[in-house]
Amino acid sequence: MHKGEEWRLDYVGRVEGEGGLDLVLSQGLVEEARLRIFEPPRFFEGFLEGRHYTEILDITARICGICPISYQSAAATAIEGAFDYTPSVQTKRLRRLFSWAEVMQSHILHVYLLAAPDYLGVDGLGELARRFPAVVERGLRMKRTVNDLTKTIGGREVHPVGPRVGGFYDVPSPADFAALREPFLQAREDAIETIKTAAGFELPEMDRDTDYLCLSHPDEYALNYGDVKTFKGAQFPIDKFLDFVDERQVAHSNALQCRLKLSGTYQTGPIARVNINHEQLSETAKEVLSDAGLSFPSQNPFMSIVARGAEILTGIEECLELMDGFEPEPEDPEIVPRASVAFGISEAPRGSLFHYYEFDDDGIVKRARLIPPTTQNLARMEDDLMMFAPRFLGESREELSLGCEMLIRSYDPCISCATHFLKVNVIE
Amino acid sequence: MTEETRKPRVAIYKFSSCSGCQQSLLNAEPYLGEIIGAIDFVYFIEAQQNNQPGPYDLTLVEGSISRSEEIEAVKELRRQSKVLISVGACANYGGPQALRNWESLDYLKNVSYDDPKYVDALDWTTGIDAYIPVDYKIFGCGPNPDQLVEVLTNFLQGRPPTLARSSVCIECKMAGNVCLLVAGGLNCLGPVTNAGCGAACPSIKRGCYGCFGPMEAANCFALAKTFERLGNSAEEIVRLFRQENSNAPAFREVALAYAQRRRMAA
Repeated sequence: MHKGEEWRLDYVGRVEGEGGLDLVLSQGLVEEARLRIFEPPRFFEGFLEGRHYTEILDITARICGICPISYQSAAATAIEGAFDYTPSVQTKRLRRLFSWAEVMQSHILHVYLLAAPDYLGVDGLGELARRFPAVVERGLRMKRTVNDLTKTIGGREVHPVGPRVGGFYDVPSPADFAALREPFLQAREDAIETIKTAAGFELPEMDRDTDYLCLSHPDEYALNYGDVKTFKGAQFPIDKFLDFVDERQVAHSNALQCRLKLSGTYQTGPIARVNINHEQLSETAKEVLSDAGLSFPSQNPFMSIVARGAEILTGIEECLELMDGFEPEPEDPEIVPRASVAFGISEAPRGSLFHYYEFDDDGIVKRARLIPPTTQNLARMEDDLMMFAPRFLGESREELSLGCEMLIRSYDPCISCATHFLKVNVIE
Repeated sequence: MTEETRKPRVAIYKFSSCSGCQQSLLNAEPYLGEIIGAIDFVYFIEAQQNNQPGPYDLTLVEGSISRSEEIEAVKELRRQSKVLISVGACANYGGPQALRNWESLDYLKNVSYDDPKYVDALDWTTGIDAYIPVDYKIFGCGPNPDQLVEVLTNFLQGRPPTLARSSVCIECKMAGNVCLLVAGGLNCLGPVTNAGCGAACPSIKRGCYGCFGPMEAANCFALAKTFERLGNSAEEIVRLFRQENSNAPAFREVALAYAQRRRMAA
């Protein structure tokens, strides 16, 4: 390949939403890696202006069909904080179950259907199902089980209707939770097998020195509450997010990207959470990891798949505990809007999802700003591609292509989420 | 394999949307194995690396048409598809992206983007049937996985889809729910909204917000009058009809009428 040659990957399969990659190559070096986003702009921040606070959960959920609950949770906690409403212990418990269900659902989809084909040498779902039926069966069984929890709490899987500011419209019965116990016990076994399966994958080696960011809470593996922590030692409350994270337009890609002001590009998501909060994984998860010879913290982005496995097992076990003996009562939260600013972060499957709102006295949105995890990860993904791609320059284009795609997929990017914060990439 | 026994070539396409409709298909876990066994997904970017050009025996489309390049793409997709089904609020009516139709696009671009001149976006977002004929429609934001399975099953058996063509009210009655609108005085779009969700919202004592879109011959003006009697302002009524399906004609007309009234009052 010659200096200045551009190599283009038309699209990245097995990720949510549509995007591609341009590499500018010179002898033995990758001069530039540019992630291209095909997803059209969708303008949600503008749509939110003028809407009532009670409508925000339903509107922002529509940004992403895979992580609507994360949008609903970040919005709900932001609004509750701004209107000085403290949700009940019961609501926090339900919200935690609900968030776990989504994180696990997304991880199971990723590990079994999107990532596993890379390591098992197949093209995708169809071939996977033909050649590895037992693996697919296990993945779908687990996915159904956690989706049943989502449906139990939220009424349906995609864009659930159950949550509202202050809590939930209605609550499941103890019998609903009891019905989930057996499937969750099965899922616990399946989750252990998931980590073992992932441990058997030949993950590419890579060693970086990047920072990581996620929520962290002294009492629990943080999902909706806590402070923001970084791997390199920064810690700050949610409402200081914009003081520590710089979101700026970069010349080459015309895209908004995030950097930590103190430490530069960073990764958020399962590997960040496990790196920072690994002590709070379930004991079984720690044991299974240790038996498989896997340890965190890790600076290899491909270890994300193992981090997902550890989160699935931790989530299944915690949900079993949270559902046990849980008898929630219907609540009627009294919310009084006021002119205020609102900050919320939830841990979406792909990482920290930041919401900011300004409200008037009637609870009408004056301004909204949303920073999803994939936007935060974009700059780090490009840095990783610059570091990773050169090892394929002597290989075929197919090898280069597969390698880069595997790296991009390891982030499980959610391009629909990222799109309305991205500038259109002008290359021609 | 002979022509008679070959599996149908099925494509899953996406335009401007959240991927939730594809997600709903993947959420039909108990049937996915059989579905994969019976049909050949030749185009499904979210689920596989290698994707083939048409022709396709069946194409399921999610997403709205929100930028110029999507117009040609959807026309070409129609030419390549024997049967084409639009799925979800976006493909049928433009989805939440159509909320731009009632705002200044320049303003919206400036809110989200530093350098709006590069943003390619149509100022009028629609479902795909504004540009191509669609054979069948599956509603819902998100669509019900059971309906997707039912439609695929019917397709495999060579029958047209047999989806309910009633309102959410019927599903409420079947579920034995007390009417939230009449007995509870809550805003509920159930009387004018397509069935298919199993009365998801009313069953948890929440008014329907219309995410399955308007049913045939929906009388939205009569319902809006009821909302007025319940004390809603014109502004609030506009917002009720401008959610996921704001560009569906029945919702669009009533919202425009109340928006006009709001302006005259101002």
